[in-house]
Amino acid sequence: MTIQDDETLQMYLEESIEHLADIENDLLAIEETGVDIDEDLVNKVYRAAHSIKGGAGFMGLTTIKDLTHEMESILGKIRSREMVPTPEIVNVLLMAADTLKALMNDVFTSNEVDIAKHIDALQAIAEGKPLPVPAKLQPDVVAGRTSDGQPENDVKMVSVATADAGIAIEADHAKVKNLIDEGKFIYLARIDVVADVLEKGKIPATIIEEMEQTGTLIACSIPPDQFRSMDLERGRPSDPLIVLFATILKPEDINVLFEIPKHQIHQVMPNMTVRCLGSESPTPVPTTATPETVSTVRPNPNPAAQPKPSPANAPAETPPTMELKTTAKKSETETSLRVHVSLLDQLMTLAGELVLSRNQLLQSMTSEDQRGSEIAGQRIDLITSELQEAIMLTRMQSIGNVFNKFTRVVRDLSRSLEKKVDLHIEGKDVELDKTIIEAIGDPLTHLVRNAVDHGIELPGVRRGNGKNPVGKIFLKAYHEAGQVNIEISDDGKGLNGQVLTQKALEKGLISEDQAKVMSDKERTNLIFLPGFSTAEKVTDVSGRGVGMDVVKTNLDKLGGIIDIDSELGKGSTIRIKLPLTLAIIPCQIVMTGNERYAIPQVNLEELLRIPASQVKDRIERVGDAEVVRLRGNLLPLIKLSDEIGTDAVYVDPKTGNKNLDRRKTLSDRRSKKSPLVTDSDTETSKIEGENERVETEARQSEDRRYHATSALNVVVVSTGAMKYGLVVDELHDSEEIVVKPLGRDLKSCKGYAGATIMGDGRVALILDVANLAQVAGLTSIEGSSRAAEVAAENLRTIREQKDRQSLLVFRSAENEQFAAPLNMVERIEKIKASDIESLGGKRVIRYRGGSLPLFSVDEVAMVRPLAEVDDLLVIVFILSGKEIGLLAIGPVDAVELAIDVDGQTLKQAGIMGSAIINDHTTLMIDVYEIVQTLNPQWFEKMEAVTNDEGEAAKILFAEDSNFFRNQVKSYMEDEGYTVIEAEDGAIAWDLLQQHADEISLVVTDIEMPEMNGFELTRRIKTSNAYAHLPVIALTTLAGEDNIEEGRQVGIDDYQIKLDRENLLRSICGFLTSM
Amino acid sequence: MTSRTLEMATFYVGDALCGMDILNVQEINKLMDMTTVPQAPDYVVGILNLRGQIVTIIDLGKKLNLGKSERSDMSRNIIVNAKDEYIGLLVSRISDVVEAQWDKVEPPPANIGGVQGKFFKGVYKTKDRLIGILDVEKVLYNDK
Repeated sequence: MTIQDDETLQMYLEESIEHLADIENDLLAIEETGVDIDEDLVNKVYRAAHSIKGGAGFMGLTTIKDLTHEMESILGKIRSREMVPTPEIVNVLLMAADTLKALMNDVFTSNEVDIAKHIDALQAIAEGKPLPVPAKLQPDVVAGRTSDGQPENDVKMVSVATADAGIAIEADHAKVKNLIDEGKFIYLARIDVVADVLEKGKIPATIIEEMEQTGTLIACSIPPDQFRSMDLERGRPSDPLIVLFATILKPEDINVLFEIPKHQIHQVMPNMTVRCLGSESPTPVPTTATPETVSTVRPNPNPAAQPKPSPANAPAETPPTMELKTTAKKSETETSLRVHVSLLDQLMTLAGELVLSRNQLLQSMTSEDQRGSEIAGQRIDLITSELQEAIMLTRMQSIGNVFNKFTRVVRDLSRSLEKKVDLHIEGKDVELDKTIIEAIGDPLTHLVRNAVDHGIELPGVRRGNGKNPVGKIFLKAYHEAGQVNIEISDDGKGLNGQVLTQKALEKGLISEDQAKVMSDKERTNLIFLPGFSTAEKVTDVSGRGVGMDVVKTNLDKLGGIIDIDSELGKGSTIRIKLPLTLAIIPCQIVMTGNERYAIPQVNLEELLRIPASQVKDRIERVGDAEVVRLRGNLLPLIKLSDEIGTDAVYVDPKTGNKNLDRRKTLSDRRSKKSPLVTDSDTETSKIEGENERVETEARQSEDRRYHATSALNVVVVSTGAMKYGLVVDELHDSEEIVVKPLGRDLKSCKGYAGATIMGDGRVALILDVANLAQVAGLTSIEGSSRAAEVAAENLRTIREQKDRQSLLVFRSAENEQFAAPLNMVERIEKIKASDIESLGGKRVIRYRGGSLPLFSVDEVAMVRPLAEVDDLLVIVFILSGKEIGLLAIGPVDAVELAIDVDGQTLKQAGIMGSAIINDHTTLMIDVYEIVQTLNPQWFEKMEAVTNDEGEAAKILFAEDSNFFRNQVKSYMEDEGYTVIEAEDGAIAWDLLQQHADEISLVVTDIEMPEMNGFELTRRIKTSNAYAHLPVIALTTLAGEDNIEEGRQVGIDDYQIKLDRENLLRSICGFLTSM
Repeated sequence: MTSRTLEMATFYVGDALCGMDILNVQEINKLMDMTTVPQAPDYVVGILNLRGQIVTIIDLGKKLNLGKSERSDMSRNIIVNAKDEYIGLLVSRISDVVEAQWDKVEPPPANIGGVQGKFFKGVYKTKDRLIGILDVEKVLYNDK
């Protein structure tokens, strides 16, 4: 049978390879289910194998067909529950699947591959015999004969045949091979007894003799002796003589010997293909190995049971031409892609629209219609973006393709290392450009293997450390900020920063100074330095120190960044960030020294502008580096102009000129009168002419300090491990640019990752921020003492922020300031006084299709009446499910302050207390009380929940601020509960133990000095005695950072301190459900 | 197949008259706006945008150790294709295209007009001048 070499084959191969990928995954799943056989799954694999087999038969791929057949029979047995899929069985199936894959990749030589091992193993399973030892099996004896009576044992036969199998003969392979090695030409010829012998006046004997004289007769279809003595009669058809003949005669000359029609002679090429001498092109017909004519002795009905006679030598003999063909075929299959037809349709539509817009544009241009050109230009802009996106999508493949093979990797690896590992994969649908997918396969494999090998400990060790003996590895992919993030995390033993630092020092990769000031994160990231390997035993599983830095280099090539976070004993997480495509990346354009540079957004963290007035405060020097304080951390700064060696320039806003920025340090403020100004400077200013001199004289040192041009533009960039700030002159837009590589002369420039062409045709360089940092010799200052100071300072300020309240400050009368808790405010509306209607003694206004009742503070409290102005503000609250509006006038402001509320002095109905805000005495209104006084019928009376003895429930309440404690306590007591109050978490804990069985619920503040709310909750929830108590936490801020932390320690509910209604409702809810 | 005629584009690098096989020459341009590349080797003048491709411009005088070429209205960029990237050579002045016979080309002396002999493939004498035929590969070669 021949192998069809055409599109059908290609399609079959592509499909089959897909089938194989599925088969592999499904086999693993089948192994998991074990005895609990999932029939559908087994069916799926069976059908997949069946399709592969069918196609193989059709295509002439006998080896593949045979192998698949064996797999199929086992799967059939599993499906009919005659067999249980044990790991060993699945192993054999998996190995067979691997071999199938290999066969398909090298399809033209597949028929010669020896799969005896697999066949035997598969058959042994099928028959329920113990598996054979995986040693090289002896090829079984063929019960076929050779015409020259060769010994039957240890003879490997090869069948030589033409494309149409018109001429075929069996021969001893070794013999053939030897003769080929000797340089002889092998010919397969058919000699028709009547036509070629008799009619030409020869006798058979002569033919044989001539052949034996000019070469070696390897095989004949009729034994030579028999042929010689053949009794021939003219006109009687007899079997043709088929010979396999080796000689030194070249193809051009061979027919001198045979004297038969050329098309009956075929030359056997060294790779066993047969070339007809009568035709031009060689027909690539590899030899088949299943001679159907040869009968077999073995009872097994499977014809494939015969061992493939071609030894492993055959592939080795494959001449370059053959390989070229297969590799050419291979690269063809590799460069094909599956694209959704809808995407192609979209592309067609876009192309059409582009054509239309282009026509429009051309027409507008020729008729000089500017407006038309603009419109067309805009349209083309839109279409181009869409087109780019659509084309990018065609190249996208889902990352699941890469992730799926890791299941197998982890399984095999953990088995061989005797560890137990559970792999979780998330985000299989995330799509990436095809080239990136292909390129990250290897790095990811390395990382996963590392995690299993070095990360996860042996089950015994894990148990000893109190961990679950089964280790977990999480593989996660997600889109974020225009990039793809891949995370590999494990709960293994983590990385030891100190050990890594030691190793790096020993290998001379870092200096002593650097080692001292490194942060923990930087220590773990040392692993990416080239030449690093701390494995005790360098196993061939994870390589020898060429691992991590190669991964990093590969990722750098893709424009991605990698960093690692680790906690000793707990585990590690590796994060990879990749751009969506390679060629087009979004960048931030900056300007320094009159030149534009692009910074890839992958590296961009944020943009910072330090106003001139703050420059002196926020910029400090640590060592010889300048740093800026950013949200409580120190950020090292590099001046871009210094690094690239240009002069920094600032734009003088008055003249628009660009002048050299002569500041030596960023926080330098030079005045003409300072000693830093040398004579030469004053000289030049004299020379610069009248206007200039007037300018410089007029400028005083204070002015310069606050000059807009003295502000700093800082681009905060990150290189994975480290963040730093890049000082530039100007910030321009962010744009999507096409990356163009730099020429070889410029490759040595560190600091540039390429170049791009801007809209105006000029070239801009793309900065490589990681290299810039290196060039600048940027050391981390995180570990330095100054950084620690700053961090401590920060912590202090945070602690002092307890009881910061978010308030809405407003006025009712001109000189009276009020405040209400911001959380309770729904919205603020502007109205005209004339819109207010008066109904039944109450004020309302038409609002959102209904009526909004209005009130003002003076209706309840003794305060000045509402100002009489035309424009009023309405602050809308929601109480008891109904909206109500508080009339007010501006100025209105939202503030967040740690205030001291005085709950005594100015207390009255409707007013909770007073505080000083922005130098004004401010009255804090109690919205609930006001509304209740005005509209008591609004509020449903919530019964206080009583316990069995009819007593009101007791609530433990911890709050350190007197004001709030009294306030909230009053809410709860008014409702009928008994409140046991504590000024601090520690006191609350003691009280809890004293009144253990009386307390039904705990309400607590978060920020308290001795023991804060979290700690208190944690204690409550982890103790057996009190874990059942519901805990409600009170908070005051409008935005929450610590809700998550709260949930983790077990806080049941968060409420706002001054939101009485919701708090009571929540208490009621918890108590009734207990 | 070697043809016996060599067509050369000739140009002045400083005072030295040099030539190169016209088949090496992609195009010859006037000086355009270039972007400087700070931190680049000193013979790199800058990079420019040539119909969408980034071309590195090299000061040929500097590369041949003749010192920086003077920029004038006569200066030109010769764009050559070297190993699938385009490199531009900045020269002082362009001269004629000269047809030379290979058999008339003599081996280069040690020094032509200040330029070392190793950069030349040979010299060609015309009626009134001596043209040094540049070996572009050698010129562009960077030892790293």
